[in-house]
Amino acid sequence: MDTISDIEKGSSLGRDAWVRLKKNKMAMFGLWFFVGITLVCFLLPLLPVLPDPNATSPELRSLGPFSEAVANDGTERFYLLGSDNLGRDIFARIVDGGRVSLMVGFIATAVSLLIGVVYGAVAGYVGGRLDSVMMRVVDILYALPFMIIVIILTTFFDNSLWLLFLAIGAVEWLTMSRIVRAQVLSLKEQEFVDAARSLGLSNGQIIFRHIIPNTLGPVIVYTTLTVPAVMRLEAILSFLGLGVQPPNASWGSLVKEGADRMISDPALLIFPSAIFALTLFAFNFLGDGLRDALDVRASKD
Amino acid sequence: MPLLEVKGLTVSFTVEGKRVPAVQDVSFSVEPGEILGVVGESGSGKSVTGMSIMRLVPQPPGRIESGEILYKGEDLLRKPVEELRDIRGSEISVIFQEPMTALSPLHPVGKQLRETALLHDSSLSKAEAWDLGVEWLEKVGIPDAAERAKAYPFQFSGGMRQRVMIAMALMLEPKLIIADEPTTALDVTIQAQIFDLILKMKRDDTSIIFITHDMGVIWELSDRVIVMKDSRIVERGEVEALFADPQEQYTKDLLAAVPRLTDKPLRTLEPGDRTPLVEIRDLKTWFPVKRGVFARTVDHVRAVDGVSFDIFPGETLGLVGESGSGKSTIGRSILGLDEATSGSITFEGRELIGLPRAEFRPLRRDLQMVFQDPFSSLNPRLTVLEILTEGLREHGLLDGGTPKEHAARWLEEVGLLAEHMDRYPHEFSGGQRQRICIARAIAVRPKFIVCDEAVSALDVTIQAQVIDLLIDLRDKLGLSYLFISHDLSVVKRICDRVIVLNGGKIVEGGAAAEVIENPSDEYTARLIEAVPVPGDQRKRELSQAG
Repeated sequence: MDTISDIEKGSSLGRDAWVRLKKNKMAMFGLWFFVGITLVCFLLPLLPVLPDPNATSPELRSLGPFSEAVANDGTERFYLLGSDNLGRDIFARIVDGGRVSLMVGFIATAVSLLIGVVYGAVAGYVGGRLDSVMMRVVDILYALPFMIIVIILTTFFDNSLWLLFLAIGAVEWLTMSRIVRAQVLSLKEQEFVDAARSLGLSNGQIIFRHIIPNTLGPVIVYTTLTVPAVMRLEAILSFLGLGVQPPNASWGSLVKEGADRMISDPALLIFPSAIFALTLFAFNFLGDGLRDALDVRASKD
Repeated sequence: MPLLEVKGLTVSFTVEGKRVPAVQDVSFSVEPGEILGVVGESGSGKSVTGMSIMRLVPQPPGRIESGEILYKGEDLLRKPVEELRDIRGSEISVIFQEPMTALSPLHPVGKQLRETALLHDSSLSKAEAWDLGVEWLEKVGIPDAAERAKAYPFQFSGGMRQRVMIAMALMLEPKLIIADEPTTALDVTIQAQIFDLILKMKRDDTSIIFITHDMGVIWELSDRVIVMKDSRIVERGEVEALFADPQEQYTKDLLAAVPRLTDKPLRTLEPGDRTPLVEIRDLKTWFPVKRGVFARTVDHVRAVDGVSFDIFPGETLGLVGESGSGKSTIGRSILGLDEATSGSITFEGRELIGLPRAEFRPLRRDLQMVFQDPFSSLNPRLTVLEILTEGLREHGLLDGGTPKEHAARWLEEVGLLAEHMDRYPHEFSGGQRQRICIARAIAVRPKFIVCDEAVSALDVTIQAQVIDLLIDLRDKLGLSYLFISHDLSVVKRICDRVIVLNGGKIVEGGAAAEVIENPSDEYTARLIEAVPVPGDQRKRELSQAG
């Protein structure tokens, strides 16, 4: 049947949203900045252009941006953003720290997304007593003082990066599950869910095929807003010395190091903070843009 | 001199960068003490016309391009907004379709009426204004008004809220009321009471612009009528003349499509000795009322309370009643969407209540449902192809063709194009969506379909087409329908038998034409009396007389 093989493609809600997003300049700036910074932080270290971010050369300390210098071992170096008090390349450290910060942002968000969406969808769909119990668990977890728990965890266990992912992910999924549950509560009253039930689909099929895809709009928006929130949390923890341990860097620990020396060497504070702030801005613009683009009411007609 | 004169009104909306006309070159006038009906299908521009008079069209995206709206000789479109405010409410007031959004949820109804009264006449004391509000609640037929004035809007039913809105609009004693589908969401008996109020206002020399899609309502209420289509006026005239002798083809089509209580049924089914397909005995579906943190059950809402009837193969059984009568719950209980509390439902002799999920599953394909709202009954994230083949895959019915061939076949069966199977639901109109829903239901080759208000949300011309489709499919595929509807005219046309429900109990049942022409129960009679019938001179005179 030729007529059926070359049928026109329908325009999905996703494609409509993309068209709307493209019109939003700030959001598109956020998107490209996000893509750019991610590529730089993850791909640049693979190329042989950056020096080892943790290699110290005390003879070349506290150089200004765009300095060229010759190290004791005879190699010629170029410092794009200058060097710190141990002679480490600031640019290399920002890229390295960015990798850690973004990774925490992505992984912790992915963890919270996975737990939050499934937990919220099940609670909302099953409803009744199970829902009550599940949401009370969330309430209890909400009530725990997060900072103190992280401090206790870091003292009891090794101070590893994975603990950081776990600790942050464990907090962020709570809000995600509430958002998804609220969505599901209204979605399960929709007639297409009844129609799926009368077709004989199982609860799992209904949740994963009919319910979760329809919560995607708010979930995507909340996700783009969770990434900067998580990165901020990581920065706070690193600033307090609870996160990444020296000599490794994250943007939080770089800001901390810069703050210690901001009188003598302000560049150490200014460059990491500026990049960090710009990244957070970019995410928030993108999140706002996505919220407008995915607004279900706007796309209905 | 006419009270209101609209000349050459043109309004456009900006949709995704494009300017789309909503109203084009519309002119009409309203005389004092007259009811002007504005009738048209969805998207005809009738509501935008009404809203433009008070400049209530949201700008942007809307834009009043040109025209004049002369109220007592003054052009409302060129008046400063501050002066317009003095006219809004006290001279011209508006009644909307959805009263919940127009009332503040945070304040008791009486307080909102009091504020309205004080706006109108600032010399009143607060207590006097409150009493005036209560007086108006009584006038619009709210029982126990003094007590109910202290209640919040959410504690009122839809009909009661609409009456509160009407009281609010009327207490300012405006010269002109713009009523935009004020009774569309209400039961016919409540609608009849609101008509009484509106006609009483008219006798006090108030003019009313009544916007509706319902020809019956136009017939009973209005003096003159304008018919709108695609943003323009297609025909206008005195109601009786226009109904008797419509000039334009569109008006003729519209009048022909309206189902009337006086219509003859499409067929008469001889009652024979048959075994029932579905047998319902003493069905009770109660909903628990839950309170507290762990949702303890404290009481029950008896939605269906002891109902027994049979559905025979090939038959269309109508289930009618007002909102809250339990008619939808019965349909949902048969399909197991609402859990029955007690009683028995058998399908081909097999008991459905208490059947384990796994054993019910193969039976699911025999029992299908078509829902009321064509917008919420299709998953917006799936293509039509996925929607149509989901059930087939589930029941292993995909043999003898690719999924695309199956989907194409069912799309053509319901009068849609097979090429459209990769589209998403939001790319279809309401009527087309309802056809997709029907295709989804019939694709699994069921024996029995519950149509829950399946044509109620559609425009009359589309409604007529969908009804024809349902009847064709019934005869072709040998289906049985449980046709749930509040619309007695439609039920009489297509149902063989009818059952009337009130408060979860059956009040009357029998052959559809018999029950509707000669109701033996008083409740049924009241229900039927309240249904407006376009062209029925007796009913028009009766309501006009008040």
